[in-house]
Amino acid sequence: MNLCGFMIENMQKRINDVFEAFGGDKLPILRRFKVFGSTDAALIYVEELTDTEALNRDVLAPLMVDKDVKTKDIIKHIVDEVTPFASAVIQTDITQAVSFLLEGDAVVLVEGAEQYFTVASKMWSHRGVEEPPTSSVIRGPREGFTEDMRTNISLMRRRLKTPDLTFDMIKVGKYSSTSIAVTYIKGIADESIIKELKKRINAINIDGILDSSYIEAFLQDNRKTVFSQIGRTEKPDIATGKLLEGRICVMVDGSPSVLTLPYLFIESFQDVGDYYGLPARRNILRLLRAASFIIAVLLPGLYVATLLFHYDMLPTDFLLTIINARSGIPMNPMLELLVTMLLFEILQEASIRMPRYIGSALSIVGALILGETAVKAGTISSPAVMISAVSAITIYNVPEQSNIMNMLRFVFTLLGGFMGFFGLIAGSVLLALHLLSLTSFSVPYMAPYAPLYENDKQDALFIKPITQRFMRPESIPTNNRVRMRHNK
Amino acid sequence: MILVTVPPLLMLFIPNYANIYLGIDAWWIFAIIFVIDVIFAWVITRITHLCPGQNVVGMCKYAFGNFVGTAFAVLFALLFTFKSFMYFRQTLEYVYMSTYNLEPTYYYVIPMILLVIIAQLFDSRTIFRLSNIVFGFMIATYIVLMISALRNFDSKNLMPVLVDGVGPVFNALPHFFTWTGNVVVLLMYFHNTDTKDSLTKQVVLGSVLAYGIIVVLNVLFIGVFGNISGFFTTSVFELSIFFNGSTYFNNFDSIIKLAWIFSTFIRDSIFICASAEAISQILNVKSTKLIRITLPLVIAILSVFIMKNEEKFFNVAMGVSSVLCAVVQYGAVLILWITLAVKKKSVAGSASTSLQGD
Repeated sequence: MNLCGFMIENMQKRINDVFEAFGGDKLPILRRFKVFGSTDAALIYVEELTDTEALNRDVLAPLMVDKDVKTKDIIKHIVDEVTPFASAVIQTDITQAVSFLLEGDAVVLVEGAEQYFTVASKMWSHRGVEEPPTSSVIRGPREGFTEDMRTNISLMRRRLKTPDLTFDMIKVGKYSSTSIAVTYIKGIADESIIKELKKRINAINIDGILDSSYIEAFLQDNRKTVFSQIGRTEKPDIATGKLLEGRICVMVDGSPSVLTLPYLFIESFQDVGDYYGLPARRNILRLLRAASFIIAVLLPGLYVATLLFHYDMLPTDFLLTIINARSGIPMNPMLELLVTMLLFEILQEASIRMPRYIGSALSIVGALILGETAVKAGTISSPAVMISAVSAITIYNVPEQSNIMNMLRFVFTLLGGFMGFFGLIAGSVLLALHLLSLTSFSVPYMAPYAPLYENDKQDALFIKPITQRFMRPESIPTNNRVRMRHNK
Repeated sequence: MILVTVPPLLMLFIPNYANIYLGIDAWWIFAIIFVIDVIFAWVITRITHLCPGQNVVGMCKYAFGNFVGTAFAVLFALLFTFKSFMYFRQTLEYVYMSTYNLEPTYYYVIPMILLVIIAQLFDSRTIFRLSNIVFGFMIATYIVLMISALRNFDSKNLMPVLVDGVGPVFNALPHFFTWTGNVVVLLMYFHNTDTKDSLTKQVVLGSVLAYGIIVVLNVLFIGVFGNISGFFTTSVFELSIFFNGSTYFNNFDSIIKLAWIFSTFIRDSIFICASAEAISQILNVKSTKLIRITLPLVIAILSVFIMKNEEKFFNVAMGVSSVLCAVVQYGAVLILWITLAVKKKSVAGSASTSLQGD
C-alpha cells in the first residue's frame, strides 16, 4: 500500500468511526469536497443543530478554491489563514468528534492530516427572551431566562461585566450529556461551597437531565423533607443579585429555571419587585406574604378548632351566625372543611389540564355552580367555602412554598379537628423544629433569625433602602463582606 | 432563650405560691430573685470565660480533678434532671389547665410526651433556635398582659407595703429556689452557642429583661387584683382576660395560654437535653440519643404516677427540692467559679514565674 493509499484509508476510517457511533444512522451529514482543488476533505455536521449557511460561506467557499498551497501543516494553515470562522479550533482526539457534532459544531477532516478542526456553527430554534409568567413586575427588568444556555450566559454577562464572573461547565447525563454551568463571582463566592457543589454535581450518575429540577433533587442537604433547600429564579437580574450577595447559581441547558444556593426560608417571602419599589411599601407586602403563609396554613385548622373545642372564644353574635349557617349540615366541621378543600384541589388540578377552550366554562361551572349548589343543598356551609377559598387564594401569595402550604393546611386541619388549639400548637412546634434543623450547604435554613444575624436583617423579612445596604449577608459565607462604601 | 423561657415559668403558678406566704407583698420575692439571678447570670458567664470550650462536666473536672470533679458534675447532672422532672410536671399541669376541653387526660399528656421525645431527636442548637422563632410572639404576649394590666391598675392595691417588714420576705424566699437560677443550664451549652462574642452582655441583659418583666407583671397583677390575687391559679396570666380583641374574640387568654406551651416546651426540652448530655459525658457514653429519648419517658412516668397529686407536688417543690436546688445552682456554681478563678491565677502566676526564670 502506498503512503497516499494509507492516508486516504485513515480519513475514511475516521469517517466510519464517527458514523458507527451514530449506529450507522444518517443523522450527521457528510459532505466530501476538495481543499484548494487537490486534497480530499470531509465536512460532517448535524443539520438540525447547525447553521448551514455559515458553513457554506465560511468553511466550504474559502476552501473550495484552486490555490497552490505549500504548507507542512494544512490544518493550521486553514484555521489561521483561510477560514474566517471565529471559533475554529484544532482538535486531535477523533473520539471527541461525536460530542462536538452533538453540541452543534461541525467537524472538518482533511486527507493527510492527523488533526482535524471544529467550527462552532451552532444554530437551532429556541424561545426568545421574554418575561417569565411566574415573575411579572410593574417596575424593573422584564427579561427572563430561556432554555438556551448561551442566551442565559449572555444575559448574565451583560449585567456583570467583570472577568471574575465564572462559568464552570460540567456535563451530566449518560444520554443527554446536559451542560451545567456553575456560576459564581470569583473572590466573592465561598470556595468550599463551590467545591462541595461541584462534588455533588459530579456524583450524579443518571441517564438524562431534562430540567434543573432534576439537579435540584441531588443538591439538597436533606432529601427527606418537602422544603426545598435550593432556590430557583427565571430572572437574570435576580440571579445576578444573588451572585453579588455571595451565592452561587447553577444553570442547566434546556431549562429556564436557574438554581440559586445557599437558599434560606426567608427568601420565599422575597419578591422580584421588592428591589425596585419603595422600601416602605415593599416591607408591608413582605409582611403580608409572611402573614399569608400563616393564614393559609393555620386558618382552616383554627376554624375547625374554634368550632369544635373553643367556641366560647367567639362573640355570641358571630357564633350564632356560624351555627345558623351550619345548621342541617350532615358533616362535622372538620370533615366538611376537608371535603371543601379537596373539591378546590380537584378544580385546580382539572383547570390546569383541561383544554383551553372549555377551561373557563368549566371553571365557572365548578367554582360558582358547584359551590353555590352545594351550599344551597345544605351539604356544605358557606363559612367552610369561604375559609377554603381564602386559604387557597392566600397560598399563591407565597408561590415558592405554595405546594407545601397546600399540604400543610390539610395536616393542620386534622390536628385542629382532633386536638383543638393544642394540636395546632403541637404541629407548629414540630414544623418549627423541622425547619430549624435544615441547612442549605451548611448554612442554617432559618437564618438570619435563627441563628440571629443582625446585619442580615437589612434584607430579610424587611428590606432597607439600597443606600443602607453596605455589607453582604453574614449568613452566606464569603471572603468579601463589603458591598458598598460610604459616600464621602 | 432566657426571655422566652424564664418569664412564663415564674408567672404561671409561682405568684400564687408567693401569695400564700406574703399576700400583696408577693412581688418582693420576685424583686429579690431578680437581683440574685442577674448576679448569677453574670457569674455563669465569668465561669465560661475562665474555662472556654468546655461544658460544666469538663469545667468541674478541670477545676477539681477527675474524682472530685466527676462528683461535682454528677451534682449538676442531678440538678438538671431534677429540674426537668419538676418543670415537666408543671408543664403537664399547665397543659391540663389550658386544654380543659380535652378529656381524658392522656389525650394531651401522650402528645406532650411525644413532642418532648421528638424534640430530643434534634440537636440542642435546633431547640435553642426555636426560642428565636417564638421570641417576637412571646414579647407580644408580655406586652398584651402589661397593656391589660395598666388599664385596670390601682396602686392602692399594693398598699401597705411590707407591713410586717422584710423578715417574712426573706423567710419565704428559700421556698422558691426550685423555680429560679435556670440560667445555670447554659453551663452545658455556652461552648456551643451561635454567638460567642458579647456573651456576657447578652446573658446579663437577657436576664435583666426577663426578670424585670416578671417583677413588673407581678406588681401590675397585684395592683389589678389586690387582695384577691391569691385566688388565681395561673396568676399573672389572668391579666389577659381584660384584653378585648376588638369584640372579635372573647377569652383571648385561651390563645395566649396555649401559645405559652411553646415556651414551657422549649424550657423542658433544654433541661432534658442538658441532663442527657451531662449524664452521657459522665458515663462516657458516646451517643447521647438513647438517653435523650428514654429520659423524657422516665420523667413523664414519674410525673404522672409519682407526682400525680398536686398538693404533694407543691410540698416537694416548695420544700426539700428548693433547698437542694439552691445548694447546687448557687452554692456549687460559686464554689466552681472561685476554684476556677484561683486555678487560673495560679496557672498564670507559674507561667510568668517560669518566663522570668528563663
